[in-house]
Amino acid sequence: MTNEERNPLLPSGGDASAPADKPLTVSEAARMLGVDSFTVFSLIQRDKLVPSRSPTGEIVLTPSELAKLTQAER
Amino acid sequence: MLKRKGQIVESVASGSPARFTHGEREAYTAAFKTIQPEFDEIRQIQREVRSFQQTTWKLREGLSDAIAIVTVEGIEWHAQAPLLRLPKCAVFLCRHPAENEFAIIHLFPAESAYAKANGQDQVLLRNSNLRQLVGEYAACVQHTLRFMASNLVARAQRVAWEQFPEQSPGKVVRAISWRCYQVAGNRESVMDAERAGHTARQARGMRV
Repeated sequence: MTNEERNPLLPSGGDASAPADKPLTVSEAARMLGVDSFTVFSLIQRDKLVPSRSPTGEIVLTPSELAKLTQAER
Repeated sequence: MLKRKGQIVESVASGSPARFTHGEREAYTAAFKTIQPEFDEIRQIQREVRSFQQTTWKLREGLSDAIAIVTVEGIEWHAQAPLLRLPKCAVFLCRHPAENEFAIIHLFPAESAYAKANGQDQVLLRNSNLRQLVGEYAACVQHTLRFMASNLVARAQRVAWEQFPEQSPGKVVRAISWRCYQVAGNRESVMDAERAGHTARQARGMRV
């Protein structure tokens, strides 16, 4: 399967546009990456993303952290 | 008639042993509403985990036909069965085309920013022992679900304390924690939430 092909095993998805520079919640990060929340949490657990915590203890991700992932070399 | 803060203790939050006044129930409902989509996602994934753990024994080596071919790093893996169907992604159990080896492969949407930079398919785990592989993956998923649940509790906590500081936010959050950890299958945290509720009732001098 190549990047250009649509995977028939998957539902639709993917908004690659980056909003402002504030930390994003997991849901917002998932939308930005074009994946789901579960996938973002599993990427964090596999050390592909380094999260921060908001003052209330929620996981947040900075746009620069997400950029590392979306600009990664294959 | 049982009353607290001048309000009748009128209801039991759905799925939780907590009893709420009308105001507490409103706080509970508002806080829970903010986490409902992810809560439902956890519940759905948990169902799928139970399902694939129960049916793996049917996927004996060499008996299943491939439902699709998934090429990762030059290997044309034979997709045998979907393990997780996520809102955007999917996870498949795959079999090596030539060797006695299985893999858990995560598929990402082709048009997603993630897939454009990292590829559409990633092998998460490989093992020649199917049962061991599926067991290991199920444990990984459970771990992720507990992580998701703890984040939901943090969000609900923020809403309860910011928007309903007068409606026993600690109690509201305990009830939400109980539901989140229960749906994520975290018995230890469910017990912690129950212990916290027990202690709070004792502190108020109530019989438990």
